[in-house]
Amino acid sequence: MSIREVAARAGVSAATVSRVFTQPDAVAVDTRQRVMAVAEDMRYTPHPVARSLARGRTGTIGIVVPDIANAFSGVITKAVQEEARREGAALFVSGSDEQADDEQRWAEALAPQVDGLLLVSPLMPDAALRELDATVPVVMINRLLEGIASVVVDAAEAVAHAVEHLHALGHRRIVYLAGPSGSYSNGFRLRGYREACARLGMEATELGPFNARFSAGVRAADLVLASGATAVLAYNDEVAVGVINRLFDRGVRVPDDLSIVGVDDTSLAEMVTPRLTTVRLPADALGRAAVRMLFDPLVARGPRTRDPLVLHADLIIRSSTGPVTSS
Amino acid sequence: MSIREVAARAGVSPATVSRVFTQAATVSAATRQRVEAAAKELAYEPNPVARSLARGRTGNLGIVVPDIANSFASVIAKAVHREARAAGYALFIAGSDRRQDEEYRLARAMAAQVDGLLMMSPRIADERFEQLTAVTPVAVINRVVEGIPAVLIPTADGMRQAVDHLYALGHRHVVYLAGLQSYSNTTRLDGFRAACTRLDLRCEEIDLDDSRFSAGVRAGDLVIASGATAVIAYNDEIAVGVLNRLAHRGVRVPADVSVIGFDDTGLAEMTTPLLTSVRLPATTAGAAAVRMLLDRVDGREAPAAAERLYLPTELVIRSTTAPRPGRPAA
Repeated sequence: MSIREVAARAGVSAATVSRVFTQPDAVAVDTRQRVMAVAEDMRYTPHPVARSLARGRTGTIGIVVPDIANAFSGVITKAVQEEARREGAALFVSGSDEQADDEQRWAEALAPQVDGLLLVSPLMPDAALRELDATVPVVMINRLLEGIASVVVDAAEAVAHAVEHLHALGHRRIVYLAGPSGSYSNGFRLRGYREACARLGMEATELGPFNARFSAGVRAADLVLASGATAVLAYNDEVAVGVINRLFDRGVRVPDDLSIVGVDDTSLAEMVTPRLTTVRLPADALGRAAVRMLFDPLVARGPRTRDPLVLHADLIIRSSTGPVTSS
Repeated sequence: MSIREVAARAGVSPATVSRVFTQAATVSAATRQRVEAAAKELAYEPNPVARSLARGRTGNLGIVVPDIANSFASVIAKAVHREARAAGYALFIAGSDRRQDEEYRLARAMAAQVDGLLMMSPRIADERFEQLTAVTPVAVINRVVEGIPAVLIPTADGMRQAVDHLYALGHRHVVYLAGLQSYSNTTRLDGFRAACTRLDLRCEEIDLDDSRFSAGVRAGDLVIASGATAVIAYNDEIAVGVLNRLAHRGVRVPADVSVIGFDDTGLAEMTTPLLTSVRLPATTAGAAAVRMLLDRVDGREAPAAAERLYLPTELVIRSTTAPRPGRPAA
């Protein structure tokens, strides 16, 4: 049952139907009654946040991020905050320090206080997610689970572009610094990397797994040098910047001696010297889409048709990649 | 019945008692049994949620920060998160984007859903705090408000150390890039003006009225135009923006211009060259603020007692500061 059918039957626009369930005060009483009657007649279940109207709205949505100090989480959170503000909702944030137990605890603490909950790259078990979604409408970012709304980035293609870029610059020995094993994001990056290497006839060398942090990149740099690779694809920008930092200390020039590509394109990528070539994940679009999914019936289309929304990434070429130098 | 009494009776730290009830697997079986026995004898109710419900509590604390993506705010939030968790509380964070109306709205929304509220560098009017404390205990970081407990990091001394350092390196013309009007900016300015007068330096202030990387990029050209040989930025993000712009313009750091930041967040160690920065004890401040707040939440301090905790700052010298051009190191 779609919102458009309800709108057609009630003789109003879909936006009006949406308003009836989200901001009833903004709709004239007789229109509201007509829409409600039709909705009831057609057994239309309004969409996630509207569902929580029955519980009494708090005017607040919540987000649980893996690490509040992580730059990528910061960009998503900011986008979510702006979009939530536009909907007139306040945003409460909680961080999990990448521990599944904690994450579940914070999500459960937030659930009764909010009208909807966003989970960024959640690690908790499927059953826990389903239980949570039964309490409060949930939209996940970068995790897939049948029956729960989600927005995901498919970075595989853009990562493949990064490998092609390095190949075109003459690099034949590339190493991938893997992120946390089991994470959705690492899976996509790895797939793009392996496929592109296979297609181009290169060996897909992997190091790690590493934490998604600067300090892990510092540690990885020496391993990269020992591997004999001429180019590095890092799990994310923080790891890439850690590598650059250590290479500077070791007297290795970027990109003259070694090319480096990150993933994320947080502000960090433009802060380092040389500026980082990176795979840009649409963090902003991701955050906004997730909030809209939580609020907008036109996007969410009710609980039964929750196909994940898939966004794509782009390779942004800056100064940390260059032609391979024959030694 | 407090966790400390249980800890004393069992002969362990309060943190261990907390772990027994939150992450039992991390405590040895013998210790666990001793703690559980002590808790039982003292009729201590361990579960924070159960405890909260019994007393009409939520088991949550809240913090409103100026900018959720700012690195200094996130270090504070992380420390607050850790301390809150150790005490058995969940933490809700909200970012105001430095808008007073938004800040008050968020604080009000949170106040109703938490057992205590922290506000970092709040900008709302003094009178607003009365309305908030009527709902829930409040403590602040870096703001002085009558009747509100506060953790303060005055930076005048750190600024003095920074100017003295530049003076010793032979710099005689220094620029300060000022941030947004705030307690933090005011104490930096006080320190800057006092040191400049004392050392008889040529000092300039450029008011960026901003605290982000992009403002630093913009400031880079202004610094070059000023002819100064050294620049002190309101925070590390601005300093890194300056470094970035100077590199583009072909100005070498520290050979041509020395740069100093404030905060010493992770960013200072990510740049090349590594950034000389005044370290602010963000982690200590966050943890102390939670303890101060919980003293009110648990009724150990009178709600109106305006405790003030002042924390010191320290200059951390790295690679972006060097002797003035054309002057050999002293």
